[in-house]
Amino acid sequence: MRAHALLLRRPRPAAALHDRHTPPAPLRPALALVAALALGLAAAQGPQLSGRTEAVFGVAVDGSLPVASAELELRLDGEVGSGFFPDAAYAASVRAGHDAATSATWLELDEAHATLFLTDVDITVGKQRRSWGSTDGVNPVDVLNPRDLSFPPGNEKIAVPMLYGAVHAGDARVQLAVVPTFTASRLPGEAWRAPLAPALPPGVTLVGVLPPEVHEPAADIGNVQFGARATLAAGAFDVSATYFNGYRTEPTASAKLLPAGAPGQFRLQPVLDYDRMQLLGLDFSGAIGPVVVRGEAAYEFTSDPEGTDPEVGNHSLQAVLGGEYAIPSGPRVVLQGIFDYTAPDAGEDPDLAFKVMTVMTHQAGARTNLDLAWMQSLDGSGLAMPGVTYTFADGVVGEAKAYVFYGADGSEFGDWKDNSQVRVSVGYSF
Amino acid sequence: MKKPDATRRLSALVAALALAAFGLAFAQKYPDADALIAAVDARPEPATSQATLTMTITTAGGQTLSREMQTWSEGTTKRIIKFTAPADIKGSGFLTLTAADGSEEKLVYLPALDRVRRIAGGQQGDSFFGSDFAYEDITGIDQEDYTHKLLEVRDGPVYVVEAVPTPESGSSYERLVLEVPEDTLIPQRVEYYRGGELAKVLTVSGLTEVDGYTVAGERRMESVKGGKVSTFTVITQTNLVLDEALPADLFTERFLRR
Repeated sequence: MRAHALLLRRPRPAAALHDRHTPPAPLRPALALVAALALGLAAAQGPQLSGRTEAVFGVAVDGSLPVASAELELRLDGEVGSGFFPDAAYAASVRAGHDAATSATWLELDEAHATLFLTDVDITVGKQRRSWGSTDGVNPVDVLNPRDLSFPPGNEKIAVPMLYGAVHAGDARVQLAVVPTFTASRLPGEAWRAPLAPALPPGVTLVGVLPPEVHEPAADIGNVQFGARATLAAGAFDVSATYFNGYRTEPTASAKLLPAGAPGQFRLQPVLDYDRMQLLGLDFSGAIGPVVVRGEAAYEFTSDPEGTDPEVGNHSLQAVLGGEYAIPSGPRVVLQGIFDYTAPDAGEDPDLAFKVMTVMTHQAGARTNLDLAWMQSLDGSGLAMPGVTYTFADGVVGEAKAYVFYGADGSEFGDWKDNSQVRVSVGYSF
Repeated sequence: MKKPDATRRLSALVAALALAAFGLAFAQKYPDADALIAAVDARPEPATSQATLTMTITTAGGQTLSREMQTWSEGTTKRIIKFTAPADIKGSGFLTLTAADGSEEKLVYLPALDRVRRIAGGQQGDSFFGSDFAYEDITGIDQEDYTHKLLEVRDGPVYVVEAVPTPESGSSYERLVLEVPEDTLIPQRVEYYRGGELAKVLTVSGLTEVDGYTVAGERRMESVKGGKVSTFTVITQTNLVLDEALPADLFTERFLRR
């Protein structure tokens, strides 16, 4: 079975929404331990409390309200020891909110981690987010954290329990990550899922669709995920190589037909599997005169190189190459080409796709920032995201952003035309 | 009766001008712009510095926005800035490293993305984090990038010098007019011109002695439109520590992320 592109992937049919707010049972003791550790340290070392509250309101082109939410995030952080590089640091944050549009309410431990600073080594343990890669917006090697795809253009990372280490040696750096348990990405909501339309054999009638059967990797030593990344900097250039052995956080979907009782009548049983994979990646960035060039590519190897197992995704490659230029007294412009390849199912052609991404940001005064992100696929579809942010006062920022999908039905972005929307938010950081 | 008075006044004026010129000739230590700029360049500079900067931006409507940051620099080749307030940009950092050939490496850290990004150069005229200062105003002037001309010498003496950037400098300005007091050799006022018009005015004040160096406590940059001040930004420098050894790995991505 084929895998999806890494950014704005179209959801698999009948994908199940995960409970956003409940961590998997095996993680709860670990999270509680990390939180207790962080809070204990905080009590001892005079922590700093900060936070952010934000209200978001959205209207879609079909008149529906995709979001009407309010969220509060509280964060506690501090250091142990003093100086430029203290002995240790800690941070913990919780998020609580309610979305009246979806009736979702959440209270979750977001991050909770402690870092030990040794001479040339940093070690962080706990629930955290990490970023790997060099390019903008689309990062093929950035696979440590699952994503919150409930609003796919948001694509926010989800913090997961992780042991993370970084070794610094002059212009070289090695990063190691161990992710002991699997956490799936939050899948897109109903409005973002492609319609379920399986090709049925002659004489078969569908009389229902069963809830999806989800096969998540169990918390087991054999399912521990790990990765390594080595970076070398030379002048205004740096290059990194990445290896990861773990799971895709978005499922490969397949379906089975189960007899419904009467002859010729079947129920559809969607199956969601998370593929074990190994990733090899390479990325770089460098300044050539006034232009910064960035590139990133990753190849994912799955356990189905021949494309014969419908429940396992195929090998895939994603490559990004682009550059950034700051127009004097004008916007900063990023232009990137994004190439996707998915190995074919047995006897079929591979999936190939190419997109161009343009990002422009312009600071139009002390209070106002203008930005535009635009993805254009070769199939004629695309997504344009113009936005403006305005700083009302210190820490008080408002944003208005449009998400405009266009293209023919069945094209990469065209199926989401009805999800085009405008979102307005106001946030206060303290 | 008026004529003798007028004659006396004229004579007095001529005498005063002559005296002023005579006095100037003796008081003026630097005969031309090159000598003055050489002296400015020769002013002792600390090997390292650490400071807290408070930047207050006053918009056209009179409202203010503030930014607080911690800075560390080593000579003129290494500089790191970390924002400490307001909360929405706290933790963001900016590292500039200048190589021996003059090329600059610029890295930005944005905590929300947990990513250090190498950013494009060539935007010297861009606003420094939404303020009236441009990046080239913050990083300072490399005198070799300008040709200088002494315009006049005022009481003080204060030298008024025109500095015209070379095409290679990448400066966004057409010319600068600096007022440099002889006693401090720190420009106390700088006018920046673009397109033949006055674009900005920098005023430096609060000079104090710290560890044997004369340093400015406050810099005020006014943006000028149609001859009137539209917005202005004041940067105040406190907690200044000079010539204290800084760790070798301070100007690195590792510290930028911290």
